[in-house]
Amino acid sequence: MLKLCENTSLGEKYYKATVKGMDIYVIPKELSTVYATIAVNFGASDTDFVLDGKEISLPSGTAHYLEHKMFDSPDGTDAFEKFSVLGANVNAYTGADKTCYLFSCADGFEQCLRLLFDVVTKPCFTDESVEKERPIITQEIRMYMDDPYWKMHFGLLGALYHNDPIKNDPAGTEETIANITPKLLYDCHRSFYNPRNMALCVCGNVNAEEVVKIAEECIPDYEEVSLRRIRPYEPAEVCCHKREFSLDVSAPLFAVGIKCTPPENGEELMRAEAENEIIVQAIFGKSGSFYNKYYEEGILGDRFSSGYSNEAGTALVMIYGSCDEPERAYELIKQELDNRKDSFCTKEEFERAKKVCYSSALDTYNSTEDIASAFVSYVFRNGDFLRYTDYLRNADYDSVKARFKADYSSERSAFSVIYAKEDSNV
Amino acid sequence: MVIKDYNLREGVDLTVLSTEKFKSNLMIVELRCPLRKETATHYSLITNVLSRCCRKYPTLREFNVALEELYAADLDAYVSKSGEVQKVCFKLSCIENSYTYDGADVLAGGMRLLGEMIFNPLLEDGAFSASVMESEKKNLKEEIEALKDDKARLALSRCIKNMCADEAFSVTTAGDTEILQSISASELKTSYDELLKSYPVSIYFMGREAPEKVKEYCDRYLPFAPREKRLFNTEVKKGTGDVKYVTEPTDAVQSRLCMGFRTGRSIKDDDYVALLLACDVLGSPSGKLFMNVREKLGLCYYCSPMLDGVKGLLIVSAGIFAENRKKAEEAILQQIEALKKGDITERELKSAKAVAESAYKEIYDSASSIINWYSARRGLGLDISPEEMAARIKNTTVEDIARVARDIVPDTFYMLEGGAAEC
Repeated sequence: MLKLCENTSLGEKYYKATVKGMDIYVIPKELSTVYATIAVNFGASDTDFVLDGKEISLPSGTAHYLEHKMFDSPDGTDAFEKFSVLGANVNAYTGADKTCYLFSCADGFEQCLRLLFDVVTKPCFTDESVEKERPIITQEIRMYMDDPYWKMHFGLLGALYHNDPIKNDPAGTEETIANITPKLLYDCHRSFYNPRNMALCVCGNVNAEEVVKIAEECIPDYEEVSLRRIRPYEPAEVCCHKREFSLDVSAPLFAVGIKCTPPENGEELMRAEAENEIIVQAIFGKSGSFYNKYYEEGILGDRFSSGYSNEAGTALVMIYGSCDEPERAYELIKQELDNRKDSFCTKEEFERAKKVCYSSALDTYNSTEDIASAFVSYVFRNGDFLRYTDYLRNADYDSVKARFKADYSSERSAFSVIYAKEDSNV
Repeated sequence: MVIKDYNLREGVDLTVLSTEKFKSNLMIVELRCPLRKETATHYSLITNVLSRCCRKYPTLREFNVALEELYAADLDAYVSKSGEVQKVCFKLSCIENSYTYDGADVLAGGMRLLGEMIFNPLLEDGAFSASVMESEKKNLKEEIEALKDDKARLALSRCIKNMCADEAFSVTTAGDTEILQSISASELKTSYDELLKSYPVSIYFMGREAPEKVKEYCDRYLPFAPREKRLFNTEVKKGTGDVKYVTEPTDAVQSRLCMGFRTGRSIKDDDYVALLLACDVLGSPSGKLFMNVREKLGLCYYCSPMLDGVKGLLIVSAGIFAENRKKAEEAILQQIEALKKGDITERELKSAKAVAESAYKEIYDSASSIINWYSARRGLGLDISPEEMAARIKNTTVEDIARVARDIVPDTFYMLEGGAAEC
């Protein structure tokens, strides 16, 4: 049974259905490329759980390793090749709270969707195939080690979080992936790759009924498992205020994080995202007094950005930039938060911030990939991206001000720096 | 999509690509200049200075406030490279008027600001404001130096520098830090005047606004004077076969290999499509490089070809262990040898064709992709649509691919050698 949801002011809509427990969203869009994602509610942060009464603790990087190995087919062929012959691109990524398998195609959508279901529903792991993947993932891990932003990001999460697995690289480390076996991957697949624990989002010029029909044919029957996830206790306070590294970079880079209260799923999730985005924009946006004052003074440069994110039961604000004296940048950001504690921002700044956030949300509707990705981020949390612009437009000054006062504290901030090594070569 | 062309004045063209597909409008104004060491840094700095402020909005904050009031219209100036041409670009991207919730005319406001940015800079005594320029020099210096923060991009850039050392193509479009230091505010103003009056201008618009209305905006806000209509050529060299090996150390964990080849062909050649397919046989998601170098040999996580169709270069990049360099080079060369022998399976050919066809269709899904497409081709005097190009794919045979592959000649094998301990 298809349910239609519309947003008339945007001229956008989607259809929703549930097949064998799996939620399916189809967002019609008149573009050449169709984009489809199957999301599995199993990510890098799901490291500890109880399966059929037995406690399991996964080595860091397991969900990501599983993602790589799902592309091996039982008949020994490679899934990439099957998509390629259709001119489609298939890919996957592992986030903190989910693993997503996706493809984009201009033709052959039906076949591609069937193939994608094959990828996620037909595990096939052998000692040899699992072994073969280790050097490839090792190079993936090493590639990110040389990425200063990646390093700085995880440095920041390590400072903000005591125990939460969000602070770990989703790919794990060379040590943790050494212990991953076919049995472990099969256990994870059986536990988490269950239709009730998965969702499908399709965006493009497709027929919703057709999508549902394919899903009905492709989703196999699943055995029910008893599964309980365990998340370690995470205090509201930060773990420490500073992490630092030295890398071969051109100028020091900094990231400041503010640990926020994670929102409840559903309405509050949508409201929290809209309001926090507006807050960050109003205070640290490009037209804001903060950025412009220190840009004019030469303390901050073009590389400056800020944003709010929440996933896997965490929420934080991040401010990135480059600065010759990163400690000073951190002090200035903390001062800004303290100074605005009671005043927040002017009504003009607030209205302007709303427009910026609205325009950025609207821009999502220009690409099937962006639309499907935006929808996917809410599928396991009772949110609805189609309503997001309404939350932005309807955001109320006093309510946003109250949220800022309650949740933005310099005490709950931390700072991660990449210093430039002196003896660089090239 | 309907295309309408206007010749606004001698050497000043407007192309309006009309579509209802998007919720925003995009305008790109391009000045095409020959890529030269002496001018590249000047033009690059000019884009930084112009996008910072203008006479009407003399501080960054005032400029940004005006833009954000227009639903965060994105106004930018930047330089980019297309073969041996430096493009000086001015961009306006704004939401379509019907999506504003207060009835604002965002496009008219944005066009006015675009005009202010290009034609009415903040001046002091006839030169650019010295304080603004000095501060933008610092920002540009940081931007140029930030190349080293991305080792994959750094390796690619160093490979090209070594490969094309005596050619204009080796000039970095962002600029050179030494030249940057020496530029004075009055010299910069002279370069700006020269830039605005001398070079051919191409204006592209993609969105819902009526073409006549777009032309009217251009007439009103973009008063470019007539200038000589010129095309600047890019030299496509054939390879000699002598391979230059270059190794440079870097303080990084992973080593980055870039193998540079000359293809002897460019998008101007009728059989370019065969070269593109050769590149897809190597680099499609299930191409020879992925299947052999990554899946079979496990030498890397990524191994991908990059084809510069204007200059005729093919660069294969991979992130590896330094001690595996020889193995990786041999494996990659083997794949190219296979192409030359026509050792391409039916499925490989089918994949490459399907991937290439999809890529051409995908261009129509993005306003900037379609503008880039026409910009690269019209700049060389070509006028062909992605659709027409896609039609040439079907009849291309394995022998066509092998024939163009035989002209792919190794030139410079570069490695940015890492091997640092993890920290």
